[in-house]
Amino acid sequence: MKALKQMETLVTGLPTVKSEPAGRLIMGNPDEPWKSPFTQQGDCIIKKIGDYSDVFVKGFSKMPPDIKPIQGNLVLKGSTNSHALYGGKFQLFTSESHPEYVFLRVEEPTVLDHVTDLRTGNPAEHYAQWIPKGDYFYDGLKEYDHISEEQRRVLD
Amino acid sequence: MSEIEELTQEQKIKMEDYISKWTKIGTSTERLDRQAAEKAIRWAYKFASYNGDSVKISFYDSVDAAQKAAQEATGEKTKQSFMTPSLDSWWVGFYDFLLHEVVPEKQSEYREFLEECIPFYKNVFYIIAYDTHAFVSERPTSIKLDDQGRLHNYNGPAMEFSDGHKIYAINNTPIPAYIAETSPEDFTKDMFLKEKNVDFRRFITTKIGIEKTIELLGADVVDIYESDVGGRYELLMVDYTNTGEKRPYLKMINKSIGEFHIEGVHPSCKTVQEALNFRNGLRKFVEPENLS
Repeated sequence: MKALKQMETLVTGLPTVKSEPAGRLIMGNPDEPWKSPFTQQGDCIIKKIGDYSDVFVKGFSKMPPDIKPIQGNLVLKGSTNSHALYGGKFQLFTSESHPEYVFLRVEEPTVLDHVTDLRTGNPAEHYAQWIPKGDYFYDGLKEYDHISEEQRRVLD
Repeated sequence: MSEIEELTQEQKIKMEDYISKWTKIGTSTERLDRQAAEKAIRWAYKFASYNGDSVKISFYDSVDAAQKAAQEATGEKTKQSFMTPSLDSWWVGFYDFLLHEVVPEKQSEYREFLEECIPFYKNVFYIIAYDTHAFVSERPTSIKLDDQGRLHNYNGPAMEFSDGHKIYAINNTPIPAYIAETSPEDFTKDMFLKEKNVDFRRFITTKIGIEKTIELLGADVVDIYESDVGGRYELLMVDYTNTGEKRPYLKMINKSIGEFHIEGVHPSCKTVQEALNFRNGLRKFVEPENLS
C-alpha cells in the first residue's frame, strides 16, 4: 500500500483538469436551516443538538463537555460503503462518556455522502444531502430481530 | 499545481478512449503476461526501496490461492494486505491521457511514470508484497458488471478464477454465495428472516420480487402510511416462527435506488408511525428533513 501511494509522486507537478460535478443529486439546501430536527441517509441518522427532549429518546442539549476532535470525514462505516462528509468546513468528535455516538460541528454547509471509498468519494447507493451550519450527532437506525429477540443497530 | 480550465472538444473525445482503455485493463480476463508482470513488480520493489532483483515472485491461479500461500509462508493467520493495481488504475489512466493528449511536451520529464508505473498498473492484477517475496494472482476468468461498472451478479459469481474460486457481489457489495446461487423459487421464509444484514435481505427481496417476498412471508398488511418524505410504508405482521404468533415488520422503499426493505420492528409497534419512531429513536413522530 505504501509503495502504491508513493507512485503518485511520479506525477507530481502535472496540472489537474477542472472537473464539473457529474450531476449527482444533493438533497436539501446548504443555507436553509432544517425544519425537522433530524435527517436520514440509509442507516445513518443525523440529529440536531439542542432542546429536542420531547422528540428524541436520546438527545443532547449541547455538545458533551468531554468531546475530542477526530481526524477525517468518516461518520459511519458499513461493511462495504461509508457515510462521510465532504466539502464545507466541519469537525468530527467522539466522547468517552457517549462512545456510541459521533458528534459533528458544521461551520460551513457540508455534504453528507454515501460512498464506496472515502478517498475518492465514489458514490454508493444513497443520495448525498446538505448539512447546514450547526451542531449535530450521529445516531444509528434500529431494527428488531424477532428470532433472536434482540434490538440492535441496523447492520449493512 | 496548475489547473486546466477546459479541454478541447478533441481532447474530450480522446478522454473517452482512455476511460475505455483503462476500464478494459481493469476488467480484463486474459491470462497475465507473466514476463511483463515480473518486470513491473521488480521495478515497483526498487521504487519502494526494496531489492527488486532478488525478490521471489510466485504466481497463483486466484486471489484465494495467493492469500493461502502467503499465509502459509508467513505463518500469519489473518488476511494479508494486498494491492489491486489494475483495478485501482483510475488515476494512472488520467495521467496517461494527460501526458499523451494534453501536455505531451512533458513526456520526457515523466518517463518513469510512462515506462515503468503504467506497465505495473497494466500487468499486475493482484499482489501481496512482502519484503522478499511477492504473491501474485492471475486475473479472473470471468467478471460480471452492472451498467455502472460495478461487480454485480444476482444469479451466480460476479468474479470467477480458473481454480474455481468465486467472489459474489451485488452493486459492488460482497454477498454470501447462497443469495446468488439460490434460485428465486427456492428461497424460504427462514432464509429471509434469519439473514441479519439488511442489505442482504434487500437483495433477496429484489431478486425474488417484493410481491413474492410478501407471499413468502405470509404477511398481513395492518397499517399503511404515505409519507411526503419517505414514500409509502406498510406495517406487516409475519408469522415468523410458523406457530401462529405474528410479529411486526416494516416494508419501505429505498428512494435512492427504488428497492424495497423489510425490517423487523419492536413487538409493541402497532402502526407505521410507531415503527418509524422505534427505528429512528423518536418519542413522537416527526418526518426527517430528507430521506435518501
